[in-house]
Amino acid sequence: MRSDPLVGSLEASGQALLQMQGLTVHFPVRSGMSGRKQVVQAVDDVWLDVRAGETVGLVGESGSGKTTLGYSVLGHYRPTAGRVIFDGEDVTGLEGKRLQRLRRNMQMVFQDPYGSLNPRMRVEEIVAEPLVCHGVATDRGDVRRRVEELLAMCGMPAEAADRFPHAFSGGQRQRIGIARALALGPRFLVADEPTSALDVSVQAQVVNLLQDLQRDLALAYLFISHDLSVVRHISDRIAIMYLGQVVEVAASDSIFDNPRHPYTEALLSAIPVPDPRSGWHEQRIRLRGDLPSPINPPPGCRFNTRCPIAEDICSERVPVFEQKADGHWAACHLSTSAVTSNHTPVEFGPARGRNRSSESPPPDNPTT
Amino acid sequence: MTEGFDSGQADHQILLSVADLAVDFDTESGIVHAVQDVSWSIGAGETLGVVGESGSGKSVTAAALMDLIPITGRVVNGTFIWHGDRVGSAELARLRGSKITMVFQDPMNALNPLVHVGRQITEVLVKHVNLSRSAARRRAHELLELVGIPDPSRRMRQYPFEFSGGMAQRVVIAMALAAQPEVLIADEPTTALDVTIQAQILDLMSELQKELGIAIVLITHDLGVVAGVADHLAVMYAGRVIERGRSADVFANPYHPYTRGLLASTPHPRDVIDRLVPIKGNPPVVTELSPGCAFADRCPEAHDRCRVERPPMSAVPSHPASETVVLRDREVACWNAF
Repeated sequence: MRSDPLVGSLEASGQALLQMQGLTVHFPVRSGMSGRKQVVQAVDDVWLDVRAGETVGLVGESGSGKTTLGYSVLGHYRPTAGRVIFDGEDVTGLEGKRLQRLRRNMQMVFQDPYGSLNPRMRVEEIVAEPLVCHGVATDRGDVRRRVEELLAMCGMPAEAADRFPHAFSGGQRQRIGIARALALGPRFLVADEPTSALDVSVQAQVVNLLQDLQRDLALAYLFISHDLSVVRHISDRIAIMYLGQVVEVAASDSIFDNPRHPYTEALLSAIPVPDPRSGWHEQRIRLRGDLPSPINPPPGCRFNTRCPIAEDICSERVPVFEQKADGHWAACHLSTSAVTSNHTPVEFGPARGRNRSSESPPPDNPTT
Repeated sequence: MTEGFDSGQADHQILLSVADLAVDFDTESGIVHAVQDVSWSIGAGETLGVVGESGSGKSVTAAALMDLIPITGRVVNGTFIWHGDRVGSAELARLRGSKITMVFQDPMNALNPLVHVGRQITEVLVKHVNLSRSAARRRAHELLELVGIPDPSRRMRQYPFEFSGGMAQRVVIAMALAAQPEVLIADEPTTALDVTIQAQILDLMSELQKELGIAIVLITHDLGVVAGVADHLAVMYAGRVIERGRSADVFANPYHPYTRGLLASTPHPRDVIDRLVPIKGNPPVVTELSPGCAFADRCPEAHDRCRVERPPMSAVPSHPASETVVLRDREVACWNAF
């Protein structure tokens, strides 16, 4: 079941299966020979919802914090600030038994189908491991039946259970990884670049499988990827990350047809289009330079050092992450009206700093 | 000539041809024919796109040309033609690093981590261009400027780890350009880079091509990367070229079911469809190739003949084969193509 991607009201947050509320993950590092303590701001004040049965695509370049965000949602990292709410319950920083119980509902599909399957375990043991760890199935016959059922759901034959991972291609291994993630019947999956290690012809198989499983099992996905074409194909909504922050969230079509953040525009224009007539090589927006360091992110808007339209205010004030149109959130001081002529004007009101405190409510509720 | 569909072809003199290349590898499970009967040509100032998935042999072709085949492999057949003349291995060795140079996928692996970047470029100039050390340093400075690296004097004294991926790839490109090559082979030059940086590097390569007139062999798995930049395209599958032609024509009228399948399974960022159309099955294991078409097991149109007899590359009827220019015609290897 999919909910309307354009719901932008406060009430809608009640339906959210997963809520990130000001989620912040900072890692302390010691730099260079001085040994000075510094902080990598890997994820900074992220507000994002994932509704039941919905796919939210999380897009960003390497170093943008998208993987850290995915891991933090699952409780691999303890947030520095902010909260993770799952199904109405605060699950921030859970440990031990309570974390284990949470994991029945949220699981992960990994990027590398070679590194994420133990080469010394048979496929049956791999897929059954969550069942055993969580004590869900102990009887050998039950385990075997459940494993075969899971493999079948993922398009693998029952005989696969008796073989080792090396017998399978990358696409088949990814199917095994997905079967394992589904073993406990989760409602939410974090899929971290699940197709980027695969060849194009096989990638399409895995994308279709994820869509079929979502339809049949009412799964919600946080689909992390650097590949905007795949993300657009699979996602109901898309969140764009830059240097640890979510800079824009909207329905997929809305992001592509009417981007409100100049970084999103640049990212979209850089997507290679498999059609020589598209003219993408001629029309792209050229971003200067590289991603700045997340240790000392630029002041004001973090994108201001590379932004083609930056003005003075952009390096002086942090832009508010605000609703620019129905269900379309972005953090930019300047209107992106160059893209479209018919959207509502963007507010130029006094910029408020992002609300760093996890306790007080946000200025707006940018959750949906 | 092939007037009518290929107006640009006559303008370009063929620089380099590879003909009937075959490369074998010894593995624990027997001899792998990684590349068989691979032929292509490239003209001055042109871009040839070589497209294929992992294991298709696209990189092995380039490695054979650059003498970079690992010790377990060997070139068992093949002719290289440079400016119209057949060249032996000794002559080819002289062309490598000077007239034919290469850019690799991972710039961090292509650079020596323990040597200043400036010195690495200078070395190429001293070895291949016979410049003095001081002249080489001045030239290295110019090259870094040419590839868009700000503050070259400072950057020359830095180590590769102080460069981002995109900047390091610019250094590798500067090194590849140092000896003023005529052909640049770029093997997945942007695959390790982020999409906005990929766009920068592709821009840089086309600018340099316009400015310096070099020919570029662009090897990639990404149809989006070659669309719009390649003049010609060679599509590889299981070690063979299975379709070739003018890039625009291959994209507009793909004849081989594999080429069509590849296009259908690539998600398009603008034309969103409900469901991707994948190619069934998996890429073949090159030790277990059938006598027939390697794609037959995955092909929706395969019939009995496809499984027993390999289709040869044949000219597409509507595009008459040229007599003077070889290996650049519109060709496809499929029994069912027309």
